[in-house]
Amino acid sequence: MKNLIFCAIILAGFLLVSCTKEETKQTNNNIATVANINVVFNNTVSGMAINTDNTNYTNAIGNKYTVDILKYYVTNIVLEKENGALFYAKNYNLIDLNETLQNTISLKNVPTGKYTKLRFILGVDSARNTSGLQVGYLDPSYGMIWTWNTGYIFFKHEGNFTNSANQVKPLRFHLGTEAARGFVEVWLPEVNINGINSKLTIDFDLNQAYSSSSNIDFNVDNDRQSTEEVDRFWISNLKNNLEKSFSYKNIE
Amino acid sequence: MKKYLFFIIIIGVVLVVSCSKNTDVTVNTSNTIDTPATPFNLIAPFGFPPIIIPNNNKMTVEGIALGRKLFYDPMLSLDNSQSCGSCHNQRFAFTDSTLQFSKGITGEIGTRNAMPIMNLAWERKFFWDGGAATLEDQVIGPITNPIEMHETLNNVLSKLNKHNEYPRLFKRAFGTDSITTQLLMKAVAQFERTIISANSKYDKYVRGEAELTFDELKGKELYEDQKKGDCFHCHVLGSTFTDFDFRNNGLDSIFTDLGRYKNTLKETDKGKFKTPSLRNIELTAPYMHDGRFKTLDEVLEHYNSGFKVTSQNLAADIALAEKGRLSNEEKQQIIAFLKTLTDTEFINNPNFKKP
Repeated sequence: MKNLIFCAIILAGFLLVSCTKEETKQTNNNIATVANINVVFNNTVSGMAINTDNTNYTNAIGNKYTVDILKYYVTNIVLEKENGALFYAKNYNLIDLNETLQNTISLKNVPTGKYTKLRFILGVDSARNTSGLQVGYLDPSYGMIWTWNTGYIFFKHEGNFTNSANQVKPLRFHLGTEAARGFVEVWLPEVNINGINSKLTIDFDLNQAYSSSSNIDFNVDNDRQSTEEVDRFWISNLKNNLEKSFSYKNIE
Repeated sequence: MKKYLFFIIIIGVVLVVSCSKNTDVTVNTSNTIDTPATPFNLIAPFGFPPIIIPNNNKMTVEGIALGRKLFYDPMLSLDNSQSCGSCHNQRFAFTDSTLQFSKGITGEIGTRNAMPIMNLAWERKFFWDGGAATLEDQVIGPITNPIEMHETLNNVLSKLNKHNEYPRLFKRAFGTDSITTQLLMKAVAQFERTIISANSKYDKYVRGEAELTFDELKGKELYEDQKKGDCFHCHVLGSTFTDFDFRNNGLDSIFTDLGRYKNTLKETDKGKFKTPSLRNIELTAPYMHDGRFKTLDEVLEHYNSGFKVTSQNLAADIALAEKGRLSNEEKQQIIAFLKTLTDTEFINNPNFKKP
């Protein structure tokens, strides 16, 4: 009988050890080499938080406008270390001004160290832009797909603007097509991901989207769906502007 | 002693359980398949190219039946008044009777003629301008279009998930009762792939089961005659009766609808539309993307002399054709041949009717 008790204790002890062993190992790993980081997209107009309550904003060339809807895809985030090492997030996220929870992108097991660049695709990569038969934020029910032209809307801004004759007119921008994909590179001032900090904030400035490279005048362009000949110039202007509309805010 | 032993065993079991609980991934038992759906093998009819079913949407008997129910369910529209079948009527080879433009739930009319639904298993792009890349992608177009069924996908999913039958039917077909956009797209596409027309008088003639009349045979000859009908270059003779390509057939010198260009923004795609199959053409009037021609006579006259040579991106075969090359008799003979493509078995097939 003593033997039996002994056996059972040994067995139980073994089970306990095998149970706890894995957990400690994992914790050690986390502290040592990798960290979880939330990348937060902070939507602004020239640094100010955006309200959807019909507040008027003014862009670089003086167009007054409002924001009801502001959504854009942030996919395929890549973090680059100072030594050139890359971390691929392989994420598909939809930033939505009206759904703040969606604006935090959780990156798991990012190697710790100093990072100098954050890159991402503003839009959806060509491999995933050919069918709506997809899940997550690429599910067509998010309303960011063209149902009459398979492919995603990369960037959407809807609201209104006051035209040069002082009339309030609708503003509707749906940016997409293969030519519209933005490759954004955000410079990071040697951000040290160390397992203590966990929130990396990136600012988006909507005004930059209409002026960083070339001005987009809402008196000329106020309703664009990326389907008409004239849309081509608007597509390339907005895409180029958007690529320069993101900047590093802080890490905390 | 026995007491101790029992006590020890209990401790051991508790430890094992608590241990495995922490490490194992929780299995979601509510989503497991009760009985797997029955695979369905869609076979290409005699003389047709093989059918390629997408890997991410293998067909099943249950999936097809579910798709058929959805196809005829007005719940997919905003006010529960219109189903896919409302504008795609089997009697007219799944076009909208003789209407030029279909009416949506708000009474608004569209700008293009409702296309027939048949032999889509071979089709490469969908809609008149090829805007939908896959048959699955096509499904959500009419549901969400404000001038058609005018419903949001979120609403459709919420209605379906609350329904007293659908969750069970989705579970049977796809192994889960949690209905998503993806599964909706898959089910309807599965049903639509089964809608095949391949038993017209012409098919019977090819199989040696029927004879064509003199006029029908003459019409077939003209169809294939490069100097006469010259239909076969685009509407390939046999099986699909289309090469699936996009073309400008010279309807207008100034486009009111830019067609394929809207999807590609390529200058060379301006004014181009899908080359439709000519099967069941007798039933699918009116004709062309905008339904401008009411009769086959008008269509034949367009190709005989009506086409606009100044139209941008005009199809080469039309640009090279001589105007007025067909006599009235020849036009009638071509029409006689086209009517041999009518498939009455297809328009009465009980498998395609409202369940």
